[in-house]
Amino acid sequence: MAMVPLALIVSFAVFILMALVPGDPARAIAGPEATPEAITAVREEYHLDKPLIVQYGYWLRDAGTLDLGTSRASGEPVVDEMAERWPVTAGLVAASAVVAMVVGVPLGVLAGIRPGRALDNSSRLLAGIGMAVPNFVAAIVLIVLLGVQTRVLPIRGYVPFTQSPVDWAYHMVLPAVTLGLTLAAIMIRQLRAAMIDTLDSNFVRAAWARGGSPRRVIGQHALKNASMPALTVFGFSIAALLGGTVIIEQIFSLPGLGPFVLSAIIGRDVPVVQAVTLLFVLTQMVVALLIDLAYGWLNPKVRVAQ
Amino acid sequence: MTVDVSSPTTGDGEDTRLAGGQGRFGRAFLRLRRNPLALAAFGYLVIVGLAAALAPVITPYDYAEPAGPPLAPPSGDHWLGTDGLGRDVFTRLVYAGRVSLQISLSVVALAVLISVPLGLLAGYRGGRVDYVMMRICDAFASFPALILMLAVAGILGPEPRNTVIALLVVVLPGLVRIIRGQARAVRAETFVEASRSIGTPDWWIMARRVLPSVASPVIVQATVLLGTAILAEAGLSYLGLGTRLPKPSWGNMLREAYDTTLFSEPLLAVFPGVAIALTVLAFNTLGDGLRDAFGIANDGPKGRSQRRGITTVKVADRPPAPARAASPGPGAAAAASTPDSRDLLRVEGLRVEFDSGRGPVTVLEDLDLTIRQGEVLGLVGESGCGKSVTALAINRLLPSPPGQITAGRILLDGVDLLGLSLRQMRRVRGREISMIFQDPMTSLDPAFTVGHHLVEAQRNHASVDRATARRRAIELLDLVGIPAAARRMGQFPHELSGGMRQRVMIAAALANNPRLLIADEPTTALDVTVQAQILELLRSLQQDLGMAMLFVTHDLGVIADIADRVVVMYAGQVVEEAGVHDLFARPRHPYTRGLLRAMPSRLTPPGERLAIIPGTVPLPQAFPSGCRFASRCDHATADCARQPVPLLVGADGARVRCLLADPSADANGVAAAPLAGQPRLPGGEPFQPRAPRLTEEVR
Repeated sequence: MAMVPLALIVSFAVFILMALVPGDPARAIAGPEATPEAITAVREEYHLDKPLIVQYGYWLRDAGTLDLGTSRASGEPVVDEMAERWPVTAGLVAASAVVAMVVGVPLGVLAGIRPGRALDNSSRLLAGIGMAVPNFVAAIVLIVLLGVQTRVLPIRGYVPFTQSPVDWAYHMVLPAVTLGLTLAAIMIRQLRAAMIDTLDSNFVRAAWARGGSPRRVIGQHALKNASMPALTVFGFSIAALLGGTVIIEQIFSLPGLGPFVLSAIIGRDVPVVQAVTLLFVLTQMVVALLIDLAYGWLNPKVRVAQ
Repeated sequence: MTVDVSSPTTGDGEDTRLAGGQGRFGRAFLRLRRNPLALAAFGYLVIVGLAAALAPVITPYDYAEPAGPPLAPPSGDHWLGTDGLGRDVFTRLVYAGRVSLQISLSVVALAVLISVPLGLLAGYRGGRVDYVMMRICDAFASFPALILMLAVAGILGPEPRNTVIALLVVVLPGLVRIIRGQARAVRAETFVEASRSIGTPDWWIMARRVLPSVASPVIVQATVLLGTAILAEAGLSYLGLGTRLPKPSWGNMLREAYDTTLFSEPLLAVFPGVAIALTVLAFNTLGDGLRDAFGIANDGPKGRSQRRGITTVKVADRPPAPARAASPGPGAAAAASTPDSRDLLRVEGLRVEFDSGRGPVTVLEDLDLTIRQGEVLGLVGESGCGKSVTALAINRLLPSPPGQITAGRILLDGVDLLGLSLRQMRRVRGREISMIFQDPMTSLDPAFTVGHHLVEAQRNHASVDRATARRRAIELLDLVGIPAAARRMGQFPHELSGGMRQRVMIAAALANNPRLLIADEPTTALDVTVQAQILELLRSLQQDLGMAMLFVTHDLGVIADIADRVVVMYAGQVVEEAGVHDLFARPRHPYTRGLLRAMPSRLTPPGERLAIIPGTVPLPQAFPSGCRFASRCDHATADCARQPVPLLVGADGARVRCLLADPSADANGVAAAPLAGQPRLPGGEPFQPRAPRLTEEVR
């Protein structure tokens, strides 16, 4: 329930993005050759003559009925175009999250169990690189190495999952790896630190004292507790993944929301920018909610507090 | 995670106030100088910074004009070659760095200027101001930062000023949050509370107390944020929303190379890519180094391997187990070390070392203990005497590193536990030797139910099915006096009180009918009334189940209640051992006498002060070579400090480590004469002076 005020603040912030646009929005909508009458008509139609907060009320009401306006570039309802592109972006984010988990979780956990060993040092190096190399640089390096030099993997194009899951996955490898790399690095650092802390805790010592096996003490007690902070960070990072799709989809020519919002930003197509931002923010909030639920399972204290 | 910076007033902070704020930064600088990685990063950044500042001087060409043939390879004229338009790549790279650094520095400087007052206000004031500001920060945090940045930059237009604004929007909320957290922590400190209570104005406290404490986390965070800003600026420029051509930035150079010559001249994409990655890496590395140098957050032990679950044993010349057990010392002299069929556990000559980072430090030396079957052995001493280390070492639960057992034997039924592998040791732990710990609040895993702990304790050792294990678990909870046992099974540790949690710990420890229970200060963390209940429970369980117990405590009152025999430890050594009646009636070591005099009792005359032992236990690094108690001892003579004092053993098995406790010392009255106000045993047993016949123990 704490999410309701947050949703309101966020949606208001999204809304007032429009107010940042220099000049008269009614003129911008009506077009450069519009007559003063036409501009007045637009102003009334879009409630631009009302105070900002009233405009926000209208906008919110429309958003509630899934009416996010029409794209000024295409004249199409924004929702329709988003519905078409959303699966591409959601699929990319999901695939990147999987990459981050598959790479980050085992490396972070193993590094935390045996800090100072070779695996730890290489994981930390990988994490350092993952944090420092921007995903578009990584994408370009991978394109040159794998796509161009060896032609192992496709470097552009998209096949819908529903059409052929195998081809979809094939086309997703490079984008998902580049996008997931940073999150993998974060997961390594987070889990490593959390494992080191947890393995030093009193309840882990008590679990050893009961005669627990490493599998039970490390794999059950330590891992479950160490995964809590890592999960929080993972949840927060979904927002970063969503944002990252903008660049990655542009580089790999994926027909997702990224190129759509990018061209809208450059063309100042405000309804599209608002709609996509709102969708991303709401997605992030839903993920945060899911994370909270998972947290309740991991940490019973939270469960009682709710 | 980085938000959780450690309290600024622990340790370092204390010195800071004394040294007027200079000390912390001076020490941090010294620590940073020992970190080669951070120094290399710093060096790289200085070079990049100088190159950017001196760009017009060090670059021979104009960044926007062709300087040679297009796509020329690297040469003496063009160090990194030329791009598709014939412009010198090195020149452009240097100017691009200038742009990136200018924007990043402006962003971070502005961010610090804005976020410090906001964060201090929110953290220090708290209440509504804090609530509103944190909700706004939450809202920003739930935005995909890149989209927000793109939207702001796109709508405002690609001007450097707008890029800075867009980056600020992304960077600010996190920084405000960190400063706010730090300010809150400082506000809760006692010295700040005290200042407030005597009416010091808030602005003064903020400026003089809170601000210095946020300085080091802000420096660290600003360093890391510089890297973030470089990354973000590169991203914006790559997308055409930041720095615009022909003015170079690393991001738009990369984009240009990607769009035009990616496949023919991939190097042109590599140069700016490497520049971005290296610079960000350098800022991150320097940030990590600063964090370590300020001691803000520890990334855990570095550069050492960790052995999990068992203490490392490195005994140079460990004799084969039966050899010593079969050959007791000559005659009666070795009375105390003679194996006895009633002996359950014998610790012989145990030495434990801790790696301090500057070489090993011996914390336990030449420790002997025997626990007989069904007996309660009390282990007493002040904090820092090595009691808990002893308790943990027996079950090999000291973490390695830093702990290491370097000498001795721990014999359970004649089997040396120091020779066992983790797999073998597991069959001892919880089955032969169980443990309960000082802090029941943290010794149960918060993520698992009470029932899980109890079922696990059984299934670690026997292949019982869950239903049977659950039935037995409920019996165990009944046994330790937990009401409504069946319902408690499904509860989590945080739903129980401290006393109940300790009962659960005891139940889990008893699950496999151990022969020895090691109780490491089991009542110290509990309320006084609960202490008595737990003690009573342990005593009755010990008697009913006939198990032996090693009871570690600093509380002699508890010892009098529960122990059969007492071992007194001081500074990592056994200083005295005796039966409980004997010890209370006739303490032989001055330290024991001091402890007894410091103990309140019903018999202490009202109004009389309790004696205290002056001074504190020396740190293990500073253990003297002679008698370790000498500096605090009223009776110390010049001889005491001269050489290590041997442990003397009497015919009755009592032991004492004191030169003055020699039979010949009787005349001085040290060993035999009782001290005024000395408490008697609760039973009121008459005091029977008996000259101890002591002989030096043969070792």
